[in-house]
Amino acid sequence: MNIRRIDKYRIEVPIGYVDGMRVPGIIYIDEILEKYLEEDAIRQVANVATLPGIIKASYAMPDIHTGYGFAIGGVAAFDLEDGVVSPGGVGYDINCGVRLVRSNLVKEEVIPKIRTLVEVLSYEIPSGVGSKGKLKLSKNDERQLMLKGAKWAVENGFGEEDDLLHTESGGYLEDADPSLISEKAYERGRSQQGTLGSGNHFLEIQYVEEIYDKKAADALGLFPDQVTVMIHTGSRGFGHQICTDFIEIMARAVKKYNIFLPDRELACAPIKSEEARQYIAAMKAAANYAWANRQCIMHWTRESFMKVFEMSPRDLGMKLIYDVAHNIAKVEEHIIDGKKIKAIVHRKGATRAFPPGHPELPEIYKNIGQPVLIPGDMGRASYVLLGTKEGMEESFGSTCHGAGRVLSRHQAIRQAKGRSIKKELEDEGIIVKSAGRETLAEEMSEAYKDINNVVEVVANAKISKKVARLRPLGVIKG
Amino acid sequence: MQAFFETFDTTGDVGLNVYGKTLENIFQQAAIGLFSLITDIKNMEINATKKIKIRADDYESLLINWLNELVFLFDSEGFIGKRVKILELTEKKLIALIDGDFFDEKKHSKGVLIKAATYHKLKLERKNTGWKATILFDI
Repeated sequence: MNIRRIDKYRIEVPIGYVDGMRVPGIIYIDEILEKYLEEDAIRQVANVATLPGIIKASYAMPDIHTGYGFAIGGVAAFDLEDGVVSPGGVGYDINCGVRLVRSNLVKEEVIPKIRTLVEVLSYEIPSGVGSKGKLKLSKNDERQLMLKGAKWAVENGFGEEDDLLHTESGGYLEDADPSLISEKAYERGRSQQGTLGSGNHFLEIQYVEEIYDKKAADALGLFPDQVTVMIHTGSRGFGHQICTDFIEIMARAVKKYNIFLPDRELACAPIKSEEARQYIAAMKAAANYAWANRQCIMHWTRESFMKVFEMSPRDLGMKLIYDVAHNIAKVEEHIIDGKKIKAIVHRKGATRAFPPGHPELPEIYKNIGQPVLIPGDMGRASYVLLGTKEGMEESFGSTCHGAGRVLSRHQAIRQAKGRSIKKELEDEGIIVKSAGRETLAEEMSEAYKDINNVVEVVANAKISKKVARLRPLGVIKG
Repeated sequence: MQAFFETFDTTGDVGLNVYGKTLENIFQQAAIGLFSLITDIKNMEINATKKIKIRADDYESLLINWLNELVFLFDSEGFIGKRVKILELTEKKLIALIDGDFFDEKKHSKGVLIKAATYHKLKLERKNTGWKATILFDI
């Protein structure tokens, strides 16, 4: 069986592409991006379709690339009766996500001070391999943080109540269970709260380059040339350890419950099993850790702006627009064949994108739909999108999460040889600072698909709607 | 045959091919390979020694658990190994001694941040002249 193009923005991976598929696969992709579509990634979309209890289809977004078990960019919903939960469908970096902060500043005010701002931010916010956070957490602090997420951060002086209203799930998931967290995860989590990490994680100062939907931009508090800050990071070593721990537990569950798997990294457990219950409660703890992490980093970002611009919080107007998770599994209500059902939706490198009127949206965004934040590479652009009714009906209210790599690290390093990526970006008006020896080469623009192409696909397929494009001015990388 | 490792990469991540005459060589070189991804270990001093014990159900899981233990040691204590000695290796158990140092931003370069060693495309094979392992890391 071969893949089949459904229309300009979708292809189908038919049942039979691999043995045992229960539903088809659907990949949102146009002909431009199809050139980059890896066969391994298609097979992973098909493999996910073999898992018990999968509903409707195994989806993948246009920023798809090969991952572990599940492709990056994958969305899969499982029945709460006979479905499964899989750590591989969430990823190692549990609740890796993005938040966007607005300001009252315009780019002309920021450009003269951008170098100082980048220096101050990179000093205040630890990043890169082996960096430690400013917070030294006791075991009890960690427990509280796991239970309350961003709310813990706010209660401890890192931000305002209002921030929580602008965070997916209010900045924390209920029923996280600290007693299920291994000593190792506690250890790894202790000194990494409030750190950016490395790889594709970043903190970026940007400006609003273009607005596509004025009404929505007004509702979000966005206007042309305005300066914004985007933060992309996750649950750090704490989440990685929880995933590592549960991959092992799930490998045993697969044998115990006789689940046939085409790939060991798809390890999962029946949704009603004790193993699944434990994973979900531990995953929630990691998700909460990540929300606290982005909250703390945002707090120090605000302080850094206050220092550099010598302005009060009120004058700076640095309100959180929204915070989204793009590596997570959540129980949600969806309508399938006219019937309301509950399902556990896995999004791995995909973003929730709920439509206008959805009960989980904060009051202020009820009319426009959920803000969706899509980071691009450090040289091009990022996007603000909104969830749509069509996306809710079609892809379990999900859309893309970023650009997606096209070059491997070594290919990127080879192509960057003899060039100064830092200088090239400076010529484009983008000041970058990175902690790692090869981060800038690995993360250069050409290593990624063009974010503009990715966003065009999700917008044209109507699973989300464009609001604004943001262009980088200053970037801090790990 | 001298045991050695080489790194390779896939679109998003990084892997190691490890070659050795014995399984001990494979476990030893895989660890050195992992440390070399995190920082330059050539000029690193030796200031500490760790003894590690790992248990698992088979050699493949033992290899992954071993590497994930080293990821954990780095992430929790900043410990990086330079020399690895395998003291005991059976299908279910590994005991090793590692000489190394604690990571210091001022002294050591920042390489790749490794989240975990994975089972994705994991291979541990017997070849004519010895063994070969392929391991992919999530970064």
